Amino acid sequence: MTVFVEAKDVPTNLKQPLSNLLLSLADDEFILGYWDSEWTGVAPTLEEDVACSSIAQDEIGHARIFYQEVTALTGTPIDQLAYGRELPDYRQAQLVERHRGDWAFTIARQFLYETADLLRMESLSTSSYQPVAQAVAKIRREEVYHMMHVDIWFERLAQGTPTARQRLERALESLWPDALGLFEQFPDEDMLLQNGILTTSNAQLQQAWLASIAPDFARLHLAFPASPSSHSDVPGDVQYLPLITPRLGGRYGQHTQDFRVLWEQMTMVYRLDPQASW
Amino acid sequence: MAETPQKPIDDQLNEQHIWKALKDVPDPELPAISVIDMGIVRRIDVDAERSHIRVEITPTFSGCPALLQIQQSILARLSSLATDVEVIVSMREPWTSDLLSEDARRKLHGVGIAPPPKVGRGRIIPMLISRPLTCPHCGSQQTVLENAFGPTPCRAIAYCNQCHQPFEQFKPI
Repeated sequence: MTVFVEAKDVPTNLKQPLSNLLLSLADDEFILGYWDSEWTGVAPTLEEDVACSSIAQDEIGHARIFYQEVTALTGTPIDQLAYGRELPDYRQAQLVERHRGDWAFTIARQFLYETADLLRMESLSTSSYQPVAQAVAKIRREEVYHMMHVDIWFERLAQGTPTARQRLERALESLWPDALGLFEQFPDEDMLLQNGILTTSNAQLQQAWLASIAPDFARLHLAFPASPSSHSDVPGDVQYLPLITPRLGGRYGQHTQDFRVLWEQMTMVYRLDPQASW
Repeated sequence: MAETPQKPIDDQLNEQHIWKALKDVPDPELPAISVIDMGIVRRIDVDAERSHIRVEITPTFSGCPALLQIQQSILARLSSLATDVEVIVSMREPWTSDLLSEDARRKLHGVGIAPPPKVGRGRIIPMLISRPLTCPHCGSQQTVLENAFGPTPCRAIAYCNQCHQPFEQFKPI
């Protein structure tokens, strides 16, 4: 298997698929980071205010690493990537662009995202594209603290007061279609898999993810919209069949009103004068 | 016609001297500690003949806003030593808190920040909650973690029940 050491090693036909992948990874963290930062000043407790702000800072840092790789590949300046694209040119999954909602919504969304991202980062750690493998080696170390934080809160809300429990359940019900959309097939995913840039398909990742969180949902008696079936070829291997329709489109530039609102705000300063030096 | 004298190879331009020079460059967030002690500088290449220095640095935490400033400070410190200075950010080896030098750990302690326990090469586990923290003011382990997150990406917030002072805990990573 060819290892691509740096951007200039990437053959022309792989450049666009790779760039789209990197933008998806970057946009997921960037947009999520933005919504997390929206708790600054209004979080339920002072310590959570600090936690959300710090997590948001990490996420924007992760986005920056991926955007830098897009710059290395395409030459587009980093600020232009982050703030200068039109709405349909962003590639985040719709899960991360939903407004932060109430605290239960934020925790539910974070739980679904972090558990999925854990597996995605693990699968990319052996990517044939070295800059990605190196980036995720760094990112995974920091994500451990994010996972720890959301685990604690997910438990606390699930086993909390009736109000906490209700809000969590309501949030999850609203978020599940988007969560399944995290595993929407990337454009040219086959090509990326063939070249080892992706080591696991989105379909496989989704299965691994559902299997990894099913026990938590069972233990906490939370609704789980996927049913296990043992119709697969491998004995003892359980396949999970989603019982609801995923909300797709994010990887292909289809976005929601929530993102339109966020995009207007976050790009406002840049769009005043894209040529300005700040 | 006067003979052009051989240009002497600058005997200051060697790797060791550059490592030493960079001890003058402080971490902007923790000015008592140099970028060398922080383990931020990963590699130095010197080409004395071409008067070229290449420094490879790595960020402590991805969200660290001081990286650009560190890059510029290194450039400024070395600009008088060679014609051509390059400071590259590399993710070749992810930064780990194990890269903090003994000096760095001592200085952190001195400014009231508890240094991190060693992490090792294996999987990261959240060590912040798996063992008692040691107060940098009084040495007690009658401490409690108030927040795994703090004022910067690298610090958590703790409290000592013995001497009744808050302190910052450098996060093991």
